[in-house]
Amino acid sequence: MSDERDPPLPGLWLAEEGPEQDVVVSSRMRLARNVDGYHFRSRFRDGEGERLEQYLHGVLTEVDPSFTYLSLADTPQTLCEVLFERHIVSQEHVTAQHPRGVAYTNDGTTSVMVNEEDHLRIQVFGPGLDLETLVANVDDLDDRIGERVDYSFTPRHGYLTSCPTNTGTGLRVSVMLHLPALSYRPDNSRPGTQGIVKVHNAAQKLGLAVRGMHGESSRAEGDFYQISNQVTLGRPSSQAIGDLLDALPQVLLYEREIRAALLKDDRTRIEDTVWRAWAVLTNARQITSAEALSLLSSLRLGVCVEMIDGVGLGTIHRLMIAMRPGHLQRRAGSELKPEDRDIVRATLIRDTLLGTDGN
Amino acid sequence: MLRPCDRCDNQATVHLTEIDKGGGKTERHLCENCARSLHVPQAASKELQKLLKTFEPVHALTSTLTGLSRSCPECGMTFSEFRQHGRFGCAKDYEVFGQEVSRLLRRIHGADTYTGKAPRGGEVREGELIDELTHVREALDAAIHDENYEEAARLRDEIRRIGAGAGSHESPGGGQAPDGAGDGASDGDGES
Ligand SMILES: [Zn+2]
Ligand SMILES: [Zn+2]
Repeated sequence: MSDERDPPLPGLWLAEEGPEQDVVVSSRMRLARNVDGYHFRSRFRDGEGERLEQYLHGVLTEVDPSFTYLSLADTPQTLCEVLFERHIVSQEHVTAQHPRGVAYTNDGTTSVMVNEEDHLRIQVFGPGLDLETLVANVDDLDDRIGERVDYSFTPRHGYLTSCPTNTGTGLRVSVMLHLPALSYRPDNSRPGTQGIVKVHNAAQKLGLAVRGMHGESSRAEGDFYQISNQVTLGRPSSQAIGDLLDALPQVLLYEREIRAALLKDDRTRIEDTVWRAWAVLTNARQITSAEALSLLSSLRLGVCVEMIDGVGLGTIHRLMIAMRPGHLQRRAGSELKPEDRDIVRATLIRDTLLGTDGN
Repeated sequence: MLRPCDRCDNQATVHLTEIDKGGGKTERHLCENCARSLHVPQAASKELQKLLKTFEPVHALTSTLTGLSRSCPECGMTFSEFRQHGRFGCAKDYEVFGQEVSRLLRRIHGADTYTGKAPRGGEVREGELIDELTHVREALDAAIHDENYEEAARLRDEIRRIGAGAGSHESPGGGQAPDGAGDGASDGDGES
């Protein structure tokens, strides 16, 4: 199905094991950097974007010869979608029209976007909670690029970025959490009494933002939430990371305690939810991604509390990515209408969970 | 119009028709999340947009002293254009709109001076710049008060040498707590 000239796909690190994975799905760190002497992207002159992309392509190849570099203008749409679904590029980077590119490592844990909102967006990822490793990796890559490139930097404002919300360290650190118990609201209870509301409030006081997986601020799709820092000026990046690490144990403890309490007080209902999810996922003939995500979330809870065995978190995480439109279309080798995607998705999920899928 | 988003499986709520140079039409149907992360129709996030609206350009004497007009000589950006889109045009904008930028950064981050790593193994320590800047700024205030514009221009250059942006005359770090002007959505899906 895939052409020989196809570049290697970035690995699915999300399917690997990581610390605290019963609650923390993944961690991410990104740095925003710009190159001195070039306009920011919104003000590129004729040919400036091409020149900068070419220059940075050269730099990145020098920094790490093992990077795969793609100029997105020459990259097929389906491959771009797959890269987006694997977090290698942002959605905006896929649809933009100006000269732009991306470098990534084959294991998929590192990517550098060229000519995104900033000239460089350096990103590292990992499964579970492991910010120390990530910060070491992202700093090292930043230093190696910074040896070869003059960054836009002043001692007063730090790293100068296109958007003032990134000025200073240019760092955004975020962790993706699975909080089904904190999001749980028993019937007849007042709205706003779930634990997740308290998490929102506590995080806000610490200058952290809590959002759903797709940016929503209320109850998130599939109960997947990301917590990230907001402040990039006035304090070193180590402090932003420290704040997050200080806040997380509380959230993790809280989620685990409520999971335990629910299992004790409401076991039948939780079991019912988990096994119904299993029933639909292994039998449905067509399924939307929203329904699949919500059911995979229930299944994930079932795996974490050892109600379901024989399915690993890695399998669930791989499905969460493989069931998205770009991956489905790449798998099918052609463009698919949404209705057809729902059918292909249901088949993929059935085959994967019942162990008949080779992947 | 019930149809899924072009980019994901959510329901599309934003419908656009783009007309290219040749007159060809392309229809796009996006959900709110995708539309937002594609910067359709506006670049700045809601929170940032709100913040920017409250920022009237300050016509400070110090800004005009060295003959700087209120648009960036490097990229042509004006402050009102910046306010509209929430994105700078080049690194020099930080200097050209120094006072407004400092106020804005304090509103967003609660601070307007940097602490942390610097390129090629350097480091900027807390308070390092503030002491020096405060001193020169006081001298600048005095020079302006005495209408000694030549000296004021020199001091302004000095401030620029120390760190980009003339900053403001308010005490540094005296801003509000961050009120959540994030750009999460611009990072695409997932883990912004
Ligand atoms: Zn969408
Ligand atoms: Zn400019």
